[in-house]
This record gives sequence, structure tokens and C-alpha cells, in this order.
Amino acid sequence: MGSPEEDYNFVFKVVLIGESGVGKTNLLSRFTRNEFNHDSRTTIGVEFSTRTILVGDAVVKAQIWDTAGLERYRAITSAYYRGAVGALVVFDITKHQTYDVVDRWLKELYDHAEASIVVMLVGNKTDLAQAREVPMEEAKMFADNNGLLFVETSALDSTNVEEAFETILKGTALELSQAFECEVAALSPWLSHP
Amino acid sequence: MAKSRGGGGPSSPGGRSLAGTRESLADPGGDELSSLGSDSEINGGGPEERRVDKFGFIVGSRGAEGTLEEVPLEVLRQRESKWLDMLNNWDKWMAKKHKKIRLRCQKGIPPSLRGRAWQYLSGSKVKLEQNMGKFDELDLLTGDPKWLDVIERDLHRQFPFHEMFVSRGGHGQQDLFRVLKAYTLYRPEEGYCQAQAPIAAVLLMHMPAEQAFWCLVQICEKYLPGYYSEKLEAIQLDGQILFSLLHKVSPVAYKHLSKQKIDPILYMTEWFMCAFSRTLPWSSVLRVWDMFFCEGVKIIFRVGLVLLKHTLGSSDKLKSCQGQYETMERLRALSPKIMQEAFLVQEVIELPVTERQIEREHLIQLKKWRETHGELQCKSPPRLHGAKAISEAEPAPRKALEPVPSIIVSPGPAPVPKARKSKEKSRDKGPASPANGPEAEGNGAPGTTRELLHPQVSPHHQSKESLSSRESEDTYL
Repeated sequence: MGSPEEDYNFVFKVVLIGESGVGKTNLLSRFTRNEFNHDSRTTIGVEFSTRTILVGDAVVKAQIWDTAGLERYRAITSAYYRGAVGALVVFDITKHQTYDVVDRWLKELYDHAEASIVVMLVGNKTDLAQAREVPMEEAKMFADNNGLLFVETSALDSTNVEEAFETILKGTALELSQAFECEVAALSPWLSHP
Repeated sequence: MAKSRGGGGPSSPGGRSLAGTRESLADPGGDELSSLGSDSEINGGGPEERRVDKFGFIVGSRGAEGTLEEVPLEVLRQRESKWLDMLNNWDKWMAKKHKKIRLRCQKGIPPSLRGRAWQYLSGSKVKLEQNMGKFDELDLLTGDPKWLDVIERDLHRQFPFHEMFVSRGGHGQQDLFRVLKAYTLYRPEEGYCQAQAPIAAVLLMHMPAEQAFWCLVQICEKYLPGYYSEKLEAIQLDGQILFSLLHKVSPVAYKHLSKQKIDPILYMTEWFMCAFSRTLPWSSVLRVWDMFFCEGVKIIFRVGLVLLKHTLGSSDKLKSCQGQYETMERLRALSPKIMQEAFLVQEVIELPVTERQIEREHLIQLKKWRETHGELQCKSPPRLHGAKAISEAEPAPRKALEPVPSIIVSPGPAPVPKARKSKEKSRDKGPASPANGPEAEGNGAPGTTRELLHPQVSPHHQSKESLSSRESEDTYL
């Protein structure tokens, strides 16, 4: 059911969550369109974009969803999480407050998403390292203690953005193949369920 | 030939006069702007020339449009004079000729009077007069740092390709900050909701900060109560109402969205919360807002329904939307044809969706909500469906609606202030009071009590005659 020019084996829905202003929208645009905008507009409602990449031998269409980070938008997110197999919890390394609330975001995530969802903690804006407020070791330790993948990125200069998404997609593929007890490449085309 | 401007300078405090122009727009994206994609940073204040379209959007950027419909200049001037007449006699028009006001809003408010008209329609002018000095008071306060932090993050993210907002720290962004901050102080229990920023930005494109603030207040309290509150319950309810109304408007679209299990929240949130200011081409945004201020939220519903119907309303259109994702993508990349000003406005006017239907559906959805979610956590007052409802809910006096222009045209002996009693008489909405608009007295006769400060002198809009005299002209203008 995809467009004729795209042949893919899987569709994985990944959601971007985190405080307003941490860079979710730019991570999305950097990964899916290789674009960055200092003045990208405030996300209201839901944004999404796709990119198809190779994960092992499988062609995976990553559907990345992005939404408003402001607290009150939490009220309308259950539709947003539906069917998500991966999540990137993003904070801004130059604003400690955005890291402090990560466990609130995790709680929100686990309240709404499948238990098997693969989660990655992302410290964004490494291009502003001189203004760093969250030590990498601290965030890495938190991630390890909570069973989360971890990476630091810069949507502005592209550092680790590919890696972040590739890792989470691989993690997701692995999780699913384990769930089905067979290899990823052997799975017949499986579309994101409603 | 597009207007050219220098780098993002301060906007004029008196609001911008967008006089109609006969110049056709240049092809968008001239040489020097061809690199202008979403990748390039526009950090304004630079000395380079930026061409802007007549709405202020940088040519070649996302906001700018190609060829636009131009209202012929003579028609525009005549509409302006009619509007000036209405604004000068607002109470009378609202009481007796509301249908005509509505018709003129449907035709589009002349750009030069749009800002003023919106204030009259929304009741924000009255609000301001009733609260003199209040905005200044709020302006001087520091504000809750929690809100200020979020607001500051949003200032450069509203219409960044509009000349008013392109400069970081420029007057446009400063005023946006002031308006949004003032609201969090005015309604601390509401605080700030990000969708208020584009709304406030659109208002600021048409009026100064204080006026924009009160207009925002009216939108948040009268037109769209609860939209920006905690829990966002109102918008969720409206999503359900929209979907429900779709059933009759376009059964094909309705079935498709049901089958794909696409929650209305996934497509209507930005539409409704920003009143389509981030969705439609700019000329359409302004036409929709003209009608919205006059007729209320039903316009927003109608626009949503029209877009859904024309995007997903036939099996032909659905051929390329076989999945949930494809459908959502389609709803985000709407066909320019259906968003185009003339087409959209006509469809909206003709769509038979009424306030009563909306209210009825509201009750049904509210009942469902209570069954699944319990009581509403944020109880908002019922919404008012447009200018007439707002005006009727407003207690007198209405002295605020006398025009107070800043340019004095008629010199002469010290004018006697208009007698209050005659204004108070016109408050009674029932029986027709004798015509006592400003021009009713002493039409040119010296020594009579003339209304102070008339902005216009042309004989065309002395409304001393009965209000029906111009009616026949209106049918095509």
C-alpha cells in the first residue's frame, strides 16, 4: 500500500516527546529532510514526517511523529501514542529544567504506549556545549538505570542525528523480532497497526 | 512589482495600513531569495533588501502567495466609505442592520479598516474603554517566570517570514511578548497556551499591542472559551462535534476517517486553535477571520468541514489515501484550489451548518464526555456566536463606540461633547430610536453641535438618511 516508488518491509511509528523548545521539530526535519530552521514554528497539534532506511536487510519506513511539548497538550496525546513502537525522549543539554522533567515524560509515555516500546533518551543541542548544564555522564547513568538507550545530538550541525534514529529503529526491529521469535528480514510486510 | 522594504525595522505603532494595490506581484522567489528555503535562517535586521507581499510576508517564503484576487480600486473605496459609516454608527447598525454587517464581512473587510472593524465586531474596543489603563498596568508587571520562559521561546517561532516578526527582539516580537505576558497576568489561572501566540500575532499585524490584547481577550473568553485552558477539553469536544457534523456534510469523508480510526484531534487541533492562520493562504485567513469575528465559531466549523469534504469527500479523492498515514498527510497538504479565497469563502457561506446544530451537537458530545471522562475539569462559560451576541451580552453604556480618531478634520469653535442622553436612548434595542448618529445633527449647518472629530468629509457617507438608502448598491459590491 505504499507509493510505487517506495518498497518497504515495515513501517515503524516513532514519537518524539519532551519539553517545549528542546528541538524535537528540528530533529524531525533534520532526519527526514536534512533541514534545520532556527525559527521553525511552534508545534501545535501533530506534525509528522517519514524516511525510509535500511535496517539490516529490511527496508524500514520510519514514521516520526512530533507534537507540542507544553504541559497542557498532554491532555490530547493518547491518540498520538497509539501504535508507537519507539520513542525519543528529548531534553536540551543547556537547560537543566528540561532534563529534570524527563521522568514525568517517561511516566506519560508508559501510561499511554505499549509496554514493549523502545525508548531512547536524547540530549540535544551539543553545538551549544559551552552552555551545557547537564553532564553527559549523569544523563547516561540515568538512561542505563532506566533501561533506556542514550545519545547526545545536535539537530543544528547534524551530529548523531542519523545514529539516534538508526539505533532506535534497530532497537525496535530487534524488539519485534524477539517478540515474534524470528528474524527481522524474514517477516512478511507488516504495516503499523491502527 | 512587489513592494520592497529595507531590513526588519519597527512597525508603525498605529497599525499598518494595507491599502489595496493594483500592482501585481512579482514571481515569488527572485534570484536573491531563491535560497530561501526552510533551511536558511532569517535573522532580520540585516541591511539587505527583502521583497514583501502586500500582507508583509517575504516574497518567496512560505507565507507569501502568488497572484491574488484584486478588488477594483473604486469598489474598495466604496466599501471603505460604507464601513466608515457603519463604524461611526455602530450601535445602530448592530441593532437594526446586523444582516448587512454580516454580508459586508462576508465580502471582506477593506484592508485599511480591518483592524478597526475587528475591534468593533469583537467588542474589544468597548472592553478597552471599560478598562482604561489596565493593559499598561499589566505591561509594567514582571509576570510569572514560568510563563515568561515559554513565551520567550515562542517569540521567534510565529510567522518568522513575516516582516513584522522576522527580527529577533524587534518591535513585533516585543509586542507579542507584551500581549502574551499581559494575558497570563490578566488570567493567571489560564496562563499561556502556545496556540495563543499565532492568534496574537495576527492581531498585531492589524492593531497596536493594547488593542490586540483586548481582542485576544475577547477571542479567548467569548469566541473560543476553554480552547487555551488547562486540559484542552474544549478543543477535544469541538473535534468530536466537527466529526459528527461531517457525517451529514460528507458521508464519504466521515466513513473514511472512521475506518482509518483517525481521531479528529490529529487534524483539527492546529486548524481550530489557530483559527486557520497556519493552514490557509493569507488572503483566505483574513476572509475567514472577517467572518469569524462577525459570526463566531460556526465559521471555523464550516471551514473545517469544507476542507474535509473537498479533500476526502469522494472515492476518487480517496484513491491516494488508502492508509491512516496517507490520509493524515493529505490533510496536511491541502489542495491550494480548495483553500483559495473565492472558492473557500463561497463554500463556507453556502454550507448549511448553523449555530443551533453546533450547540445541539455540543450537548450530545458533552453527555458522551461525561460518560467516558467524568465531569469537565475546566468549566468555561458558554461561547458567544459572534458580534451580535457579544454586543447584546454587553451591558451599556456604549459610549465607547463613538469614534475617536486622532486626526481632527473640522476646526472651529470648541465642540460640545455629544449629549449623553441621546446615546442612552439608543441603548433600548426594541423600538426604533430616532436616528441619532453623529451625522444626524447639523449636517454642515454651522453652530450646531457637531460630532467632534470626524475622520471623513466626503458626502458619500453622511448617514443622515435612513439606513436602507444604500441597500441596493450593496448587492454587488
